[in-house]
Amino acid sequence: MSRRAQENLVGVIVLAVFVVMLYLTFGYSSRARLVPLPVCILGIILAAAQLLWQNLRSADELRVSFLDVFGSRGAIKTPTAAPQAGSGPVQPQSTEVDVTRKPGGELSAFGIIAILLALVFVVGPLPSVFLFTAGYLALTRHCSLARAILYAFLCAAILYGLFGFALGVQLNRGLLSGFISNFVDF
Amino acid sequence: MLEAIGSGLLALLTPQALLFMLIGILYGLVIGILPGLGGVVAMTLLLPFTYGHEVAATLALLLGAHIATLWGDSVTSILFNVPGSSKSLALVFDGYPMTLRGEGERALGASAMAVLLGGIIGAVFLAACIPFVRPIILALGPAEYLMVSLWGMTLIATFSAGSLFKGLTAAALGVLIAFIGMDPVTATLRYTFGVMHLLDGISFPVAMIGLFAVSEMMKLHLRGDSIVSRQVSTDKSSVWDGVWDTLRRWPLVIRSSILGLWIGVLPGVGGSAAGIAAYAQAVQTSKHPETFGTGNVDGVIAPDATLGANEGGGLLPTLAFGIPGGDSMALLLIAFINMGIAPGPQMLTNNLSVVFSLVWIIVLASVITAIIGIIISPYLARMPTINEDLMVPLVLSVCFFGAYATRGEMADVIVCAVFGVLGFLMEKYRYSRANLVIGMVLATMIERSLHVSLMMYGKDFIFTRPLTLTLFLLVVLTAAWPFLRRRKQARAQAALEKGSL
Repeated sequence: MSRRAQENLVGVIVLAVFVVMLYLTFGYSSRARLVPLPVCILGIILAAAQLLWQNLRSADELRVSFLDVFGSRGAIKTPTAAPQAGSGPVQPQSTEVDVTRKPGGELSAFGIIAILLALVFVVGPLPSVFLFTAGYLALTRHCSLARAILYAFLCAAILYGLFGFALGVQLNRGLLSGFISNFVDF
Repeated sequence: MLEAIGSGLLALLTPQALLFMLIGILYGLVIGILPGLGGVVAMTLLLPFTYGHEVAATLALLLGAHIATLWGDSVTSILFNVPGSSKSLALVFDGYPMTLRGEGERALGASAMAVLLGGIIGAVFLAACIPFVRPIILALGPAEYLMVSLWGMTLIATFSAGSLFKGLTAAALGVLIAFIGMDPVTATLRYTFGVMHLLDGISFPVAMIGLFAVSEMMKLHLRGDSIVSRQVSTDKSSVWDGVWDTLRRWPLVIRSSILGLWIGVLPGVGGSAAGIAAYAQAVQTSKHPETFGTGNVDGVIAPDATLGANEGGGLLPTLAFGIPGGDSMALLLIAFINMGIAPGPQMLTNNLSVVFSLVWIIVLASVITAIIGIIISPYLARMPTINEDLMVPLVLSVCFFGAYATRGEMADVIVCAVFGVLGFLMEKYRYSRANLVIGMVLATMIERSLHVSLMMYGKDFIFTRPLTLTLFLLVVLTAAWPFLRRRKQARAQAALEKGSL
């Protein structure tokens, strides 16, 4: 999908979110919608303006500076990150999400979040830390399986020490524990 | 008065008080570094220990822990883009870019020194203002709080440099997200879609953990490189550079501290708004506002000095009227009651030595925290160089664990993951995450203050209250200032080009 198509898709989703919010806002009392109503209308205007703007400009010019529009009518280009005095020649690493070295690209990034989330719900927060850390370290071949298990155990133990023991946080046992407890008492 | 100052200090020089303060500080640092947990959690967990000890020792434990969390919270904001608590959000805007540039040590040093100086200024102010604080506090009302919140909103322009419409859209989205849950004014359920978990609204620390930390780990996983390469980390910056940066920028420290004091005095405004307002103030008074967001050390110093001073300001209404300046001050109030001390006007006459003990605790705890901070910063600053294959699972685990621990609800883990994906997509399509968070932080306060102001002063309240009008004009001026300055620069550049031709 081209960059413009992606931007348009995101723009339409954002617009739809504001429209739904506006629709819901009309169901509230006048006092409850005192602030949300104008914010929703403003959001719709902004999202529509963004959609229009990005389709009227070339693909290279999808961004527009706030200061250029209202400050100097485009007399000065958008300021770039000026290095701080004394910061030396070292430049910051890119913060844009465009470098994808890992196999599977962005899907793998979404995948690890989904896996961790699923683990937390199935086995609970503490075992999920152990399983996820050990699995990630082993699959990325950062270290041997034995060492991955050791690191994962240490990580889970430290988190348990801090949250479970020191702070007294009641740790959820997950759906699996509830399922097993139907058959075995523990 | 002098006798009370002396006896307040002497009460703290007992072995028990000193030991309790040290324990509190070390505990506060650990809690602060854990994502999502801040001073309020630290104090809450210590409340059971407030029975049966010396008054000064108990206060040293509580307040010492709370003050140490200020710097602890800053550490993860600076090194990992993970706000330790909602207060330290503004630290991620410039602290993390400094880490990316290999200047993590410098940022941590600046942060420790700024918290120290802010804390001392706040404590001195507290001591100096005790005799004549009453009329100042009574002059401020919800209309003034509203103006403070609107002032924070002027920051949106700073983070919209990439795209005007996207920046404003993100802020509007943040405002609406803040309204999810039960409206405290009308008890209306808004945008909950029938989900029970959303009745209490979106937990702010959980949303921030997702928005900044989880999305950052997703990026790191994709990039296949550590946060900071080892080559960059062996650069020239040291913790002492940061310390000198803060000392050299004393006007900024004083301005930010005064702002922190003022916000601290306003009951209910809180440290989250204070940090953002401090950042806004630093941007608007800087000669190089365009460098903010790219690793400008001023963006680290201003919020930390404000947060340091905020404690002294927050103690004023707590001690003088028994009105807590924020969540942490409410907990302190509970501790006072546990110890049989009644805060209020009589506190400033009958228990003046306790008041000065608090002043000394702020000073001593800030000094000890800064010393520990300066000592451990070089070691902490190496953490972002850890290999990404180790960093990603460890940080993600801590984030999800922290999200769960915030309220002990599994649904918060889903919120964390959703905001993580949202943050990742916002970064990819250049919708400012900072603006979303600014909208979230300030929306509730704006709405609440607006409702109360309308009820108390009528719809023309801006024009009928001179102080509100003055603040309103200040907001308009500070919002317009970047554009006026830009026009001036454009004219100067045009004149220069004409001259060269």
